[in-house]
Amino acid sequence: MAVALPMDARPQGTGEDRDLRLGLRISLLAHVALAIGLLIRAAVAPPDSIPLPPTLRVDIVGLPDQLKSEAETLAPPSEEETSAQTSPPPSRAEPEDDSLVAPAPARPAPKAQAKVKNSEKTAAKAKAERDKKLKSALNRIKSLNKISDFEEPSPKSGVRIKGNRISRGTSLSGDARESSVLSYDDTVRVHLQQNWSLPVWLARQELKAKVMVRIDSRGRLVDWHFTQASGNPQFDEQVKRALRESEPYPRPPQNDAQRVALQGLRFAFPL
Amino acid sequence: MKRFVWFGGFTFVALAILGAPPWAHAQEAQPNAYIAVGKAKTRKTVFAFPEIQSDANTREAARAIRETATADLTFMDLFKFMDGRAFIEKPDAGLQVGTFQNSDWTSIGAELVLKAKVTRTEASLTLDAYLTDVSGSKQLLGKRYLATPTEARSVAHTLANDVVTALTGSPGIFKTKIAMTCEKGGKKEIFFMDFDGTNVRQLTRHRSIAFAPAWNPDGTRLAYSLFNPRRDHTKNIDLFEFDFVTNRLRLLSNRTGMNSGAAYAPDGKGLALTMSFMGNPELFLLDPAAGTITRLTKSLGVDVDPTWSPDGSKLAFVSSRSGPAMVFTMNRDGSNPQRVTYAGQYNATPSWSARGNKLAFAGWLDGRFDLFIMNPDGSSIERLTKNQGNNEDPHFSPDGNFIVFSSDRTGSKNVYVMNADGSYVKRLTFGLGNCTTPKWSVPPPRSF
Repeated sequence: MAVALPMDARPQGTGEDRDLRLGLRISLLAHVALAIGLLIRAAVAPPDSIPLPPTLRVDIVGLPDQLKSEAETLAPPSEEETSAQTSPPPSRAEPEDDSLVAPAPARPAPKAQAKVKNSEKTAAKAKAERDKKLKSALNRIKSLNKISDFEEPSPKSGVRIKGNRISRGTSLSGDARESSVLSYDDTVRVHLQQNWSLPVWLARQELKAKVMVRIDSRGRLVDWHFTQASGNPQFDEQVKRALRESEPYPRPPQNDAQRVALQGLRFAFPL
Repeated sequence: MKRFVWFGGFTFVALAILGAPPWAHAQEAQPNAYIAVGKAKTRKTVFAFPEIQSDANTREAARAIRETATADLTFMDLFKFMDGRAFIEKPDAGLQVGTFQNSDWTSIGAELVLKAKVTRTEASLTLDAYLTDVSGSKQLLGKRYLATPTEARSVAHTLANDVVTALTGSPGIFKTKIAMTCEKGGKKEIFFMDFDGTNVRQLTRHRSIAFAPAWNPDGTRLAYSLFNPRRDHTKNIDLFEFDFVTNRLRLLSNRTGMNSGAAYAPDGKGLALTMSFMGNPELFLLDPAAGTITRLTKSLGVDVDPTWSPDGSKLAFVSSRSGPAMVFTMNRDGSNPQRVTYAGQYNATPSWSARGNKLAFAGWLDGRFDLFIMNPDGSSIERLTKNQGNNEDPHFSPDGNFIVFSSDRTGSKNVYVMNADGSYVKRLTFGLGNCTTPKWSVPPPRSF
């Protein structure tokens, strides 16, 4: 007797069907394994952050209106240079506008004993009010300073150069740990730069060399070698001289001393 | 069981995809990035050049050689020459390392010492010269020069070239020439002179307008354009070439219209130039030996001022195809034209540096021309001149350290030279009328 089967019903238990189910299971297991792997990795060792030095955006808006020499002399210090400086300029603690600050309370008269208590109360009240106003004024100044930080630098703070103008950049690295490591490396770079000089005839040849230096916790040069010499003995000699004359180096911070002494720092002269 | 095998297998695969185990990864982390120390401060090397040892017969030649070589080396702006009164060495000291006391020089602050001696026979002049790095006690140069007694100046230039080569590795420029167009007596003619503005000579006497000179790669021939009268009393801009070896002038192209702005290919196989026989001025490659021309550009704008990259693989030129005249680059065969300047109202006369890493050009800014330098891709534009009249026609020296250009800063147009960074400007032409389009040669194989 014939049995009518629905049109979409498929015969079950065929070899093809088994393969499909096996494939689905394999895929599921692979995804689960991948997820577990990622979780284990994230839990056991957080990934090393990639050192991304702050990046500046440069806009070419026209032919430069400053000579190269003028631009070098007058250009405001770069972000790296400013970060290498130790202390920021002190911020203004006192407001300029007197109207924002309440006047100081008058001193109580010595003879008016009866009024002392009242006047003390008034003084306390006035003091509280003054503190409140002062606080509010300081907050306003702070927020104003914040706004001014986002404005274009004024001509007084640095020379505005038409063309090749360096505009406010966007930092790509927000990792505080990385920035502390970078700041030591940058300190050493600035230190080396002070002793890095070349005769004009060598500078004009645009030679390049790369070195690896190891510095101990006291700032002494433990070891160094060329990872890429320039091929010009006189240029290489000037690199050696700069490394020698830069001793003693700034002491590395304790949490970074091992890296500096064992892994070392790599410098390129000049780029 | 089979399922466990699968699971284990895929866990392994997953870990392999993710990389090594985290503990191993932590050990591998290396700071591979190099920190750029930046541009070095530069200083001039303290150079001592004591009197050249000579006798009564050679005293005059010795004086001429020392003066010329000192002037040449001063031109390079590399050295700080010591005053002879500071020298403490005894007159009987030797010339070579080991025959004199280094401390006699290091104690007075000298870094390089050039010592020489001149002797003379009836027919020849001999100069023995030694350059010593006294701080490293190393001899950098030791040479003997032989010449006729009248060639003291040429010997001095050769010595100065060798000093520069010993230090920088690149040939000196002290035997190079500069060709230019000067307007004297109402006519524009081609002149040429030594690198320092001396020994000026007039090449052409067409009593017309000769302009846009260009040296061939070995400095023995000079191409230039000329407003050439024709039989129908019209004038056509034809291209000529003068050969300094044979002293012959030959016509390279007289196609109708412009045949100007020639620039020899570095391999000597042809010249790039602007021709307008098809109507619109376009760049062509002319091969005089084969008698062929190859079209390089095809645009609606005007294409002029070609300049070759030192390896001959590229050309920079000026084109108005995109509106105002701007600097473009393209391959030798005319393919892949790229606009490289976008700034300024219009730009002109690019020149490619000998090292191939810079292009100089004149840019119209604030109502006058000034000189700028940039990377060949158009990045890092720097200004070289400012507030000194119009400054045009930059052209690099063969060693890439200098730029020769024309300027009207004193009223009339004259030729000036400066360091490639815009410093140390020196005027080269005096009393030749308005001089423009200077072009620097390589050192020619023989004097002319």
